[in-house]
Amino acid sequence: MNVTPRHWIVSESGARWRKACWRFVPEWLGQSESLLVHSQPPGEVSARAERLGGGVLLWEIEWKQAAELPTLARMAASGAKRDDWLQIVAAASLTPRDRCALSEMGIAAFIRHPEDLPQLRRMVTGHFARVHRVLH
Amino acid sequence: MPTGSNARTLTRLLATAAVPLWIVTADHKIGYVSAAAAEWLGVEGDELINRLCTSGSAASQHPLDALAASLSPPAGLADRGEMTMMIQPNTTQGATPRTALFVRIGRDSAAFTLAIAGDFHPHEWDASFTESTAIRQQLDAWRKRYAALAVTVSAGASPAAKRLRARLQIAAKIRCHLGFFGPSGCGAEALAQRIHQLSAPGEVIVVVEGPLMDAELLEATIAPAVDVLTESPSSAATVLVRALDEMPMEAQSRLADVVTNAAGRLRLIGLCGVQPSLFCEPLALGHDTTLGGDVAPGRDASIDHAIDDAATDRIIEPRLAECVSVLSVSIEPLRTRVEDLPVLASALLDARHAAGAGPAERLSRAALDSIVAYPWPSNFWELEAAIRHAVRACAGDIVMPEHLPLAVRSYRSAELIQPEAAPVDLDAAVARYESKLIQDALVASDHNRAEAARRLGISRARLLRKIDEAKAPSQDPATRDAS
Repeated sequence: MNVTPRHWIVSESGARWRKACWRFVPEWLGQSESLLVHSQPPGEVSARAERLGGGVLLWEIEWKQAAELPTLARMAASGAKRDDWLQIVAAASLTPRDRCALSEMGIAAFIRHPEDLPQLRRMVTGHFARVHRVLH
Repeated sequence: MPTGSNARTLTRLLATAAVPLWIVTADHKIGYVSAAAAEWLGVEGDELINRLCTSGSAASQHPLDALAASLSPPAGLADRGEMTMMIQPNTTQGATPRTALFVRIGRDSAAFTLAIAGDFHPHEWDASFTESTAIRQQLDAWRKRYAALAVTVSAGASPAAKRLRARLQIAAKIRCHLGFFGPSGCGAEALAQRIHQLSAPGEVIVVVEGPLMDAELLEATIAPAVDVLTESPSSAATVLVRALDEMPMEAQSRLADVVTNAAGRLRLIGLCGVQPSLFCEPLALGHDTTLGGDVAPGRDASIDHAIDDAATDRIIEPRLAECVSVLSVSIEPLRTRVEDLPVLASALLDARHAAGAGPAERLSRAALDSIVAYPWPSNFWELEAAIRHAVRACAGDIVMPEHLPLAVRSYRSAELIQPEAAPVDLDAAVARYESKLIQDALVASDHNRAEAARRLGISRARLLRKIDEAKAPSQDPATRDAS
């Protein structure tokens, strides 16, 4: 059977979101799909995304890094150029203004903690279905 | 420590407080300085009283005015009510800067500000306490709105929790047969008992351990309820059957006979496993005296057929299946209520803390992450046990991951384990890496081996030897023999 890889690129400082992906995302996959989670430092995400073709990009921002939002916005903007990547920001504290700015840069969803991830099921499966239609 | 309701007690408490305290009056003057604050600032407390204390700007060049101004609250306190700020005392005495918590008490001209210096970490406070405060607020709202139904398993904001609470509200208002459907350990019995207390207060309830029953034992077990029914024509009783769908069919038939004969005066509350899809369908309420409860009088044949199927699948006697489908309450497993886990865990922790089981009063984010990541195969019962364990293990006020049971804190999904568990052949990996470097060097030097050796910092002979070694294992045996 032909197995379709579902790529998740996770840019984070620890392993919190990688674990969360492995905990929740496999339940969303069909029999012919497999999950591949790639942990990447922020600076290498763009190159990795270029190679992989399509999937989900999850950026973690800690509150200490809130001052680095412009950097993230730049990176997110580079990802936003490719419609085949769904971008999610995981941050415990973002102001509405930050969210608006990031939304304009192509961030599709914001989550605070791992328990919020299952709420994105419909969005993520819809995204993969759309990418699949475009590519095939 | 002095206690009491008079002002003198408060004065004594403030005076003996080990942390520096001061009060800024509504007209922005220092109104009180505690002994600890005076010691910290290196001045007599009375010298600061009535000195202007606003905006950090001193009223004069006098050093004590400058010191008083440096104690002023941050801007915006009137709006926010409380704020933290680093206080850097403007004094020559060398008082160390300290973070102070400012709390505005009262309104308008009657307001004053209480300042407490300590080791506050405002950003960390925001990050960790904001969330526990939000959970607390969510729990408080749930407790307030569902005061009577506040059984912990119904807390949360997920669609499953909302559905559960809606069903429970209905069940609490009607005395009718009930079916609770959910996996083992889902907390159905606590809910059933609570619903019974609310819908039929004071009514006798007999608990039956379904799987252990046969017809005779069942009769003996429910005898107290039957006795109540015989006392007067208006008396009523309830039978709560654990694991009704695992009860032997012989006992189920006997129970169905008793319930049918009681004509509504004997209520059945059945705790069952996973709910058949039929029972999720809303049934039109009617009244059927032969069944002793509210049932759907106008069911069509397809529903009857479905009931038969469901009863066969779940091994529920058809008459009992009809009873538990009168009003069914479905409790979903915890693994599908992930967003409720922090609230449920916090509610359980609050209950343990209030009961004096331990000093722990909140869960750290790392502990909550472990709780969220765990699939809770034994559901609410397991979560309750985990929190009980954590409270026992935690000596402080914050539960950390190491306080949780080993199974919870060390859980990792199977997919996450596989890549790390796979054996790594170090020699082969090093050989592959070395071969790649050699190939890159050869390509970069246009396959000039001397140049490639120079680039790699080794002798040409050693490079040739390594190229031969790299080729040797992959060389076809037949080719090797032929050469």
